[in-house]
Amino acid sequence: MGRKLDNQEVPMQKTVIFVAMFFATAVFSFAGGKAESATSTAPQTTTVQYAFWGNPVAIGVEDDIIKAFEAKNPSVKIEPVVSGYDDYHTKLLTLIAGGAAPDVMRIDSYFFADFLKAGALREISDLIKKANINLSSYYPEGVEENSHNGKVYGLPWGTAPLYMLVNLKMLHDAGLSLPPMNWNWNDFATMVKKLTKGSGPEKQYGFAIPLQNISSILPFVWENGGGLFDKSRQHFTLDQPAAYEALQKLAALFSAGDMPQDSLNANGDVLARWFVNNKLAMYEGAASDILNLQKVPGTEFEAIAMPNGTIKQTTVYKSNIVGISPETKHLNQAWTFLQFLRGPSGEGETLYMKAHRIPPTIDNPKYWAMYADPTKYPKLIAQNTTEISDTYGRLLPLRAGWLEVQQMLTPALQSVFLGQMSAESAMKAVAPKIQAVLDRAGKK
Amino acid sequence: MGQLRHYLMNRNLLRVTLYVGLIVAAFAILLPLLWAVSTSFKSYPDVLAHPYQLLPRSLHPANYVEAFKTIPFLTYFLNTVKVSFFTCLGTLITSAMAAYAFARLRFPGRDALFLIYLSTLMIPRQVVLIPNFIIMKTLHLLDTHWSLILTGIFTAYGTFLLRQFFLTIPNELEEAAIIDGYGYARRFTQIILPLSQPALVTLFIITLLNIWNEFLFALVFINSDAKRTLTLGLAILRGDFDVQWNLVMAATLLSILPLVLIFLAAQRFFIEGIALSGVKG
Amino acid sequence: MEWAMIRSLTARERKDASAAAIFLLPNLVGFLVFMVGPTIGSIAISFSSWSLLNAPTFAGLQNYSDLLKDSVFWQTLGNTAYYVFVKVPLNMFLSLLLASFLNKEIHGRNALRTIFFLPMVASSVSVALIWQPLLDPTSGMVNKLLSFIHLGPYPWILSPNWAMPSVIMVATWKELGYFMVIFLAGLQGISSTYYEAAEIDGANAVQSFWHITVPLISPTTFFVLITSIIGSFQIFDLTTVLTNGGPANATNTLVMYVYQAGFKFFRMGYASAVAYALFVIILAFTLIQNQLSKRWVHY
Repeated sequence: MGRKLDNQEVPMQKTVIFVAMFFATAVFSFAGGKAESATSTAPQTTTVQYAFWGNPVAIGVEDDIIKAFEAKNPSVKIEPVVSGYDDYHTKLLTLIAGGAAPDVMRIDSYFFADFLKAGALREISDLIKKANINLSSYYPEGVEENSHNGKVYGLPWGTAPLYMLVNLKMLHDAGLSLPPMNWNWNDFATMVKKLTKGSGPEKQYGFAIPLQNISSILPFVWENGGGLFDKSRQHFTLDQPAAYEALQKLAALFSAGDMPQDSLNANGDVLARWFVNNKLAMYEGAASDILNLQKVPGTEFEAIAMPNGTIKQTTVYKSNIVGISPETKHLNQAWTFLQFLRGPSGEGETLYMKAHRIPPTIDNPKYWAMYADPTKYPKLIAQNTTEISDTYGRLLPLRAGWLEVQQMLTPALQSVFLGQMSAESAMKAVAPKIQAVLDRAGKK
Repeated sequence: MGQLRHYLMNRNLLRVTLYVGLIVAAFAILLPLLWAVSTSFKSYPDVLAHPYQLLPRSLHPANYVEAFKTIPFLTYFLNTVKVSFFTCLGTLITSAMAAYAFARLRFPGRDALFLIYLSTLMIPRQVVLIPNFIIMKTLHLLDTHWSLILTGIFTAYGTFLLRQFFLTIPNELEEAAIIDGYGYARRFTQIILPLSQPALVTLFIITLLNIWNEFLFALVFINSDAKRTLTLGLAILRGDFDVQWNLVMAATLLSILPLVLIFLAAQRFFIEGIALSGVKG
Repeated sequence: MEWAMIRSLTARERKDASAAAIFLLPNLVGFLVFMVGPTIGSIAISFSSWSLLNAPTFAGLQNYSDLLKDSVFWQTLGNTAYYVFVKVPLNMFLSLLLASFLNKEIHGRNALRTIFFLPMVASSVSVALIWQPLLDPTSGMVNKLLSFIHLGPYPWILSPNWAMPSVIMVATWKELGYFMVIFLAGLQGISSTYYEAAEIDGANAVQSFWHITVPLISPTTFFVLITSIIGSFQIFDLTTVLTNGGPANATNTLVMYVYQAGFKFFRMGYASAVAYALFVIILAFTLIQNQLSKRWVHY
């Protein structure tokens, strides 16, 4: 009758040992946990929650800023709410939906229009006026990205262009020199062809475009006189000739083998790999891509404007926002902190610059001196960025439903690049669906 | 056809082929892990080497030390252990009891209730994320480990697994025990449970894996660094656009290591009885 | 005599019910609060329109009628079905085979079991991050190794036709050990006397496998089948990190759509409705499997 396992006795002892070890560790960590919660905040302090994303280095910078702020404002304690970028907005949206919105929060500009529509950021024009903050201290793109109808909803963070990163070594090897800032598509295409050489694993490419992010194709659409949306941002216009011709020209580069296959699915890392190994001559990158490239010594590159032709304003400019929740119970403290963090006279910008993570949001040469090392590549970044801001920069036509549009557009673009459809038919096919998204997202 | 049959009937030949097949498969399984280990020992420029190099140009075991220091690894580790321990304990106890009721006891609504249990497995966690958040907020369990432990324990998976296993235990054993005057508790603890060791260990391992790698709920429930778990720590290592892949791999491998050791140790529970000769050939 | 039996049966059933209450209670309470409660909440959300930033507004059946006309819903459903119907049978067959091999007395069995189980220990995200560079068509390790035996190069995750098979391959790599472990647990329960008797009768390995192992392990197989189908329909992490749903939407899955709609497109009500549409589909499959199981599962 019995169906006993013969080896029952021996494993039993091992189980007991295991359980005991686990229990001991658990109790140990419980004790540790209790000790943590025993350190309560000192009386009379207000706690302000501040939400932001980052990796350990970025978080370190925020910690420094927080410490400096708390030293100057002992009655306020800043409680960081952190996660990595990928899932940050999920966490933030959950907090807000659950009635636990952080007092101060950073959001990616992709989400601004929807936050604005829902009233999820407190308008701070009145606070700015009272504090005499001069908004023109910032790069205008940053302020514009945070405003709507003249009202300001936050202070800018990480205002920067999407540069064209150019591999100087590959250029010089091909007998080419750095293109001028006002180059056009033909200059670009010629360079790409000249810089694509070889075959097989040793092949080098002139250009790569990360299709996952539709910001990457817009400069070329703009250069050709087209646009993603019309001026009112109510209508999808990639199905117009000026736009789809540009897309077709790009796709032609891909099918001619001037771009690596990775372009379909690439992110910054993958393209950086090609670039630092001198197998990719140019690609669009942001300040964070520059950080990656700088980690590999001997990488000689510059950051310039995108090809712009007669249109001029074709280089994507982007800026994120740090704002205050309308539900905050500590408006004064939150505003004080926000000024410290992002204000023209706050210490936040200095600390960000010293950490070299994001280019200056405040238009001041002293910050450029802190951020950029003119002996390190990209050596020309300070003057190039200012020139881009003055002449070549253009904000993304962000609006409600942006990410949904991107989600529909990327597969269509990938089909075009893969040669499954022409740009014209792909854009015409996807236009009604995207228009429906725009109409729906723009409602209420 | 005759040759094939002859081949299949020749035990030794079959045994050797079997062995070779297993070794090749094992190698295929190990290769990606070797890649991960190799990446964990690379310097960052090495990570960006083109074409991809299997082996590092120079070894950087310091990556492991740095991974340990860049994020408060020990804190995260202890938190994960604590959450895992209580989740596994709670799951094993409550699921076994519930599974016994479903497998062995007759009561009205049993099958309907079991179907409800099963149905909850079919709902993606992403849509219950916010309702769970609201519940935790109401219970003041936000930013505590209990939020993770409680949501970890009460999934239907354990009950389902054990109920299926209990169903395979012959009824006669319990019938005999009933005749001998055994009550429910005794039958459960002295007959069913001892015979279910492999299933209990399996459930323990699977629960451990799931809770150790739990991310989505941890993301929204946990705010403070002191309470963070390993998966959150790893996500933060990848949290911005300049990812140190060598550090990420080192940290990932470090965080998996305890699970590997536990599985190795728990292996013994699958040792066959001496009487079990299995299928030869 | 029959009267006595009927009376005692009812008495026993009554005792059963009260015992069941005690055995069920700990799990049931937690289950109701932390599983059923949120589920009911999310069902309610599916009848609403909710941006997460404002309060939800009632939307009746609008979400459900919208999703029937949503081409993205149908496309992601198709992708998900492709994944499920290829991966599940493949995995089950391979893992049962593996488990039966590793159930025998062979050298290095423990080491092999551990090796096959290892991939399971890493999260799906880590698995995808490990595999992405390996599958690079130009210089990834996989194509490099295949070139040594004159195969390839294959486009893997950069081709719309190859992307889902690549995902299935990676998922199989990861989960083989997991189902192997479950089958091993089930195999432990098969008494050796069956095999000994078969050997005496002159059965070979394959015959023993089909006529003893497969029927006797059917409850475990059923469990593996159901959990595998349920889990596979909800594929999310792997496709997000490995291919981000591409290229050209080839690996965009239903749960990815749910997540995007809820947390990126500000349509949590709609996302919930899509999730419940998926639920209905999975439930239907499970019920069908349950009915069919009466024919091949022996308890």
